[in-house]
Amino acid sequence: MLGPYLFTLLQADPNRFNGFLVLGYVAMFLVGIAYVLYLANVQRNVEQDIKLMQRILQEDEISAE
Amino acid sequence: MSRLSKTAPILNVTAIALIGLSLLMVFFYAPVEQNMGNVYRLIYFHVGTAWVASLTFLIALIGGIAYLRTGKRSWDTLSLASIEVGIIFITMTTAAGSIWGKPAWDTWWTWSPRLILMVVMWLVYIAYFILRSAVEDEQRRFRFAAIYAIAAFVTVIMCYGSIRVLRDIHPVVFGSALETAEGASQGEAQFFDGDAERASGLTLAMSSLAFTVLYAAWVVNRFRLRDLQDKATQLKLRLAARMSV
Repeated sequence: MLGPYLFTLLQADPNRFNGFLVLGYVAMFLVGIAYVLYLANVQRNVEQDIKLMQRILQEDEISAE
Repeated sequence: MSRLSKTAPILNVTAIALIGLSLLMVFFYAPVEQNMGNVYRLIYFHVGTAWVASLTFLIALIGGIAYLRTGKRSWDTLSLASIEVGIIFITMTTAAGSIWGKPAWDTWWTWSPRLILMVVMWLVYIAYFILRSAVEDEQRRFRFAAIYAIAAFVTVIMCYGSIRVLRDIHPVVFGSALETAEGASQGEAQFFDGDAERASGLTLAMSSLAFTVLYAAWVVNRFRLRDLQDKATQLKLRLAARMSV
């Protein structure tokens, strides 16, 4: 008599797929973080280029004077 | 400090806060789903990213139309940024959906109409960047990109509408579908009571709001990047002019 109830109870364990839940959120966050890191990297490279070119232009103006 | 430089940090912090709040709601407020248990909590971010991705592609379409009408470069940048963020969101959607699909359908992937159209949509928008890099002349590049962004939206309509018209394993959770197009029952949510359903709806709304603000934050950051790249280009031209003297 308890059999079907126990079977249902075992089937209804809400934590049986928790590994997939964690994996899913980790995967989504990795994608998001990868994009943020990509944007930050591109921005840093452009800022470095700007600083370098400004310095070269400044030095060139000073030496021209 | 430009307006973008002031807005970007505010949006960044707001987006992070909302994503954090959303996660708290997903794990501590949203109810347990009757059939699938806690793994159902993946759906809140899966659906949130999917909805906001469709919004980004719609905004890209609007940007394309506006660029063709006005010729203002900002509209092109809006389209570019929107499509870039949209691709990221679709990748997140697909990753979450695939991982959820393993316990739900016992497969990581299946070639159902919705999923095929999702891949097609993803590839079509990736090709947007290939097109941009293939056109050297700036004005032609912007024009072609605008037309492409408008035409590519067809794939969004096909992808999002397919489960309401074609028989598909992907469930129709919201709204209706043709009788012959009813999707799989695995994946349709069943909660214990009305309060639980309301909590689930609120969590989904919060997740969608969080990703919308995240989209806005990323677009503003992309505009800032464009401004920096323009500044670098101008400096390069000045340097080149100096060197040729």
